[in-house]
Amino acid sequence: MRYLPLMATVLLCACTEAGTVTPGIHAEIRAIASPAAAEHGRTFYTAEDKRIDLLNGLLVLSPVAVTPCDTLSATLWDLLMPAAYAHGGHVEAPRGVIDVSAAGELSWDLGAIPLSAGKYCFLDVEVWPLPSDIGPDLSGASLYLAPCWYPDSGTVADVPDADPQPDEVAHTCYQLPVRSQARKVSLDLPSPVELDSGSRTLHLTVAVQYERWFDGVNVPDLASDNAVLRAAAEAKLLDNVAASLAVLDDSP
Amino acid sequence: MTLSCARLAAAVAALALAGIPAAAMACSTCKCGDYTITLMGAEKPFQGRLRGSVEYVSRSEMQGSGIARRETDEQRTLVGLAYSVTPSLTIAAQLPFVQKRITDPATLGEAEARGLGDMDLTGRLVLYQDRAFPRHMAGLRLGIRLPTAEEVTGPGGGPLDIDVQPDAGATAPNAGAWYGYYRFPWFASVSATYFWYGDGRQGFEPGDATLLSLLSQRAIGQTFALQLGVDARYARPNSFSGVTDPDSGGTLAMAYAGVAARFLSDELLINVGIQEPVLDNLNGVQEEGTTWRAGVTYDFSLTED
Repeated sequence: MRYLPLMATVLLCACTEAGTVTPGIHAEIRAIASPAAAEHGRTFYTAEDKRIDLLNGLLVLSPVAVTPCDTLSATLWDLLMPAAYAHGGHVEAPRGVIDVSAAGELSWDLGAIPLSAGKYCFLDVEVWPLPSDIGPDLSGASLYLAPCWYPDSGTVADVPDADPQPDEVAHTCYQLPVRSQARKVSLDLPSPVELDSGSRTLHLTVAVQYERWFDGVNVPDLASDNAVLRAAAEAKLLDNVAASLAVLDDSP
Repeated sequence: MTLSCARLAAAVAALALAGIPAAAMACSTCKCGDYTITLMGAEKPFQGRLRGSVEYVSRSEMQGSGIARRETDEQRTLVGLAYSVTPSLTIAAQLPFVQKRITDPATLGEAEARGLGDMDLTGRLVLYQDRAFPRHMAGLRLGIRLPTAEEVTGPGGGPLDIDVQPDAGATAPNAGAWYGYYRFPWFASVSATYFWYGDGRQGFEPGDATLLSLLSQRAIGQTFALQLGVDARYARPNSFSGVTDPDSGGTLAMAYAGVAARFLSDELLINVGIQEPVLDNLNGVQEEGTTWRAGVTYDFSLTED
């Protein structure tokens, strides 16, 4: 019996060692405000030279898949790997709330996606409804925008270096929750990427050119009581949001 | 009472026999069957009996499909000690040392960890026997699994994936009943146990489980015995932070075949066996591989001074 404490000590000493891990092949994805948008900040001009002060802008961007280059592999990918997430469902779909109106560096971590070895050409992202806890009036909204619209603003070239103070120019400010179904957008990678045991991590940066969101959109229509006008404006806005996304070339 | 030092020295690791369940594992299809069933020497214990055992278990499993497919290989060394407080009550403790390796074939990811697992404390109670040298015995078992498992960290200092951890780190009270039939050279038993699992680490919530075990044994002379049995398990699905794992839980039955042999005046028992899945109704995509088991049991000789 007197040997039992020694035995217990020996057993406890045969204890934990640090584990080893070899990360699997995966893509790490982030989003940034496009360089042009970042330069102008929250005040910018549409393609029609209408000034916009974007006081608030929220959307949810979720990368759902990095898809292979060839069509056959892409089809098999969709059939066999509909949700490219890790074991057991305990890795949730990465989902990033992008707030383009936030101060400071506009960069958002969108998470990681596990991948198998292969050659990849596309990044599929989805614009999801905003989280239900983001605000009582925003439940189900895919996009929340708070723009100030300057209907009589001139071209960028006509504006002096010091922009006129907002109170000096006629404008209207809106709060616009836009509700729609989740929307999938397929983005081309700048160039095909080969992943294998020697190249396991793919870094992808999605640029969000939010200054293009209001191109061709009559902002007052987004708040119109006319359902047809409002639906058309929202559809155009959402098309612009999809078209504003692009994968940057991060190669050195 | 003093221990025979020579015999104690011969059994370096603590041993366990009656009343010692095999340690649980984090996955839902593991620990199929009730390993508290007494092997050869299943007679009613005498007061003051001290038993120890070392058991080695090697198993594998697969879960998920496509990009989510994961393969697990596990080797578990179970070290335990059992003491018969009275002829009707035996208490036991068992501690596992676990080595696990997970492989994700699609992404080429791998992880490996080793460390102590969750400890089992068990009490086995004889409530009925038909006579002094019983042909029929029955009783209850009560136990608790304690969250003693170490949390293994990776090179960066953060904990590794819960799937590769030695155990879930969950507290699990358990209770069950058993029956044994003794008529040399035959022995048969049946037992059932229910596990209530608390929350484990990293948001892992193991599903409660019911274990059922049927075992028959025939002695070949006084030294050897052949064993055949069926072990079954029903488990509720696991969850991770409230999200149900679709590739967990369900029903699994495994056939068991083994051989046991006794030496050294019946004090040393060696057993080897194999479990093979024969029937399953598992949720999602799961596959349990063959389980290999081998163990040594030793009765310490307690003599008066």
